[in-house]
Amino acid sequence: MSVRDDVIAELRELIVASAPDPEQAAPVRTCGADEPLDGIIPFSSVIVLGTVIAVEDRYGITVRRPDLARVLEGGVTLSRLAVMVAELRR
Amino acid sequence: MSEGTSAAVELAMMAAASIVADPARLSDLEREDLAAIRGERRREEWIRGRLAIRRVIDDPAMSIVVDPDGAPRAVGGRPCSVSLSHDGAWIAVAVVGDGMRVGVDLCARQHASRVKRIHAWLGVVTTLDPVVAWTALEVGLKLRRLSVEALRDRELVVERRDGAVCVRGLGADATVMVRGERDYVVAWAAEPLALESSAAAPGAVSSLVVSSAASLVVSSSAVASAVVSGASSPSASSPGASVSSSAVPRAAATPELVRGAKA
Repeated sequence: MSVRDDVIAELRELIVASAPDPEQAAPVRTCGADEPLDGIIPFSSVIVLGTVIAVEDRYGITVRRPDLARVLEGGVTLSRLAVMVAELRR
Repeated sequence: MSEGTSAAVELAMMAAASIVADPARLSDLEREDLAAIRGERRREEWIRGRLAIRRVIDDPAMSIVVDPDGAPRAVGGRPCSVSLSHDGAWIAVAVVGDGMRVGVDLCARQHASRVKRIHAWLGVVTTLDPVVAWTALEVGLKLRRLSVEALRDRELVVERRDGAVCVRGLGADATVMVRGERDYVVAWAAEPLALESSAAAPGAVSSLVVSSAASLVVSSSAVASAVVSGASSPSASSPGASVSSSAVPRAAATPELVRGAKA
């Protein structure tokens, strides 16, 4: 498993943990990495930002507005989040 | 709803469970958008949102399409602006006449600790109930057609002002009406399209119906007092309990709203 795959696997769990209803968010555990999460689960702003905060805590990074904009453009996907994590960890 | 440019907002609260998520009731355009949504729960939520709007706008020619920024837009029927929010067991719909933009946001109180943390992360300056402040910020985003990233790295202040909530930091000040219930907070505002960059006018409610087992119609003055308290009113939180209707003629609620309230 690549580092990217590891990050994506962790992101799946972070998102489920950030959701108010983990059962509703459960499909994130099995969805495609490039599928917009908004088409999979109710992905409200509260969950989006809750996930970003959890990602910051987990990886020791700081997500600024341009980073968020890149992740949100076209819909948040696990791949986009993983790319953001990789870039900010450099 | 009155025709033409008007700040009168039709605001309806509905129990999600009162709406059967039947895709057959969607228009062809709506079914095309639905095809892109794969998750079963998300599909149900999405369908319920469209059907909730239909309860407020009874126009068979209308479709609700998705703008590039994700906002719902009514096409094909009478010109109007719509906004939709859902959270858990509830759906909020706001509609305003042509030439205006409306924003509504609904947030369950169970998110209080989450949004409090988000406020801290964003550096939002507020002394209000965190859920009240969050819904006001979301309405500010919707009014200005901004995505959630716009909240990051800004000086945001959410404060009481003249019986409403004022959002500062998303362009011109936005004045948002807020109503707190036991389980959720709903916030809304409308502003003229031509005045997007200037101060937003609060959305004077022409009708507010909470749809569950029975209807709840409240006056705009009752709404304003809910803002000031920033907390739920036990007497107002039970669906079907009439808070006040003295300042709002019953005729202000459209027949469709009344029907929806009994669904």
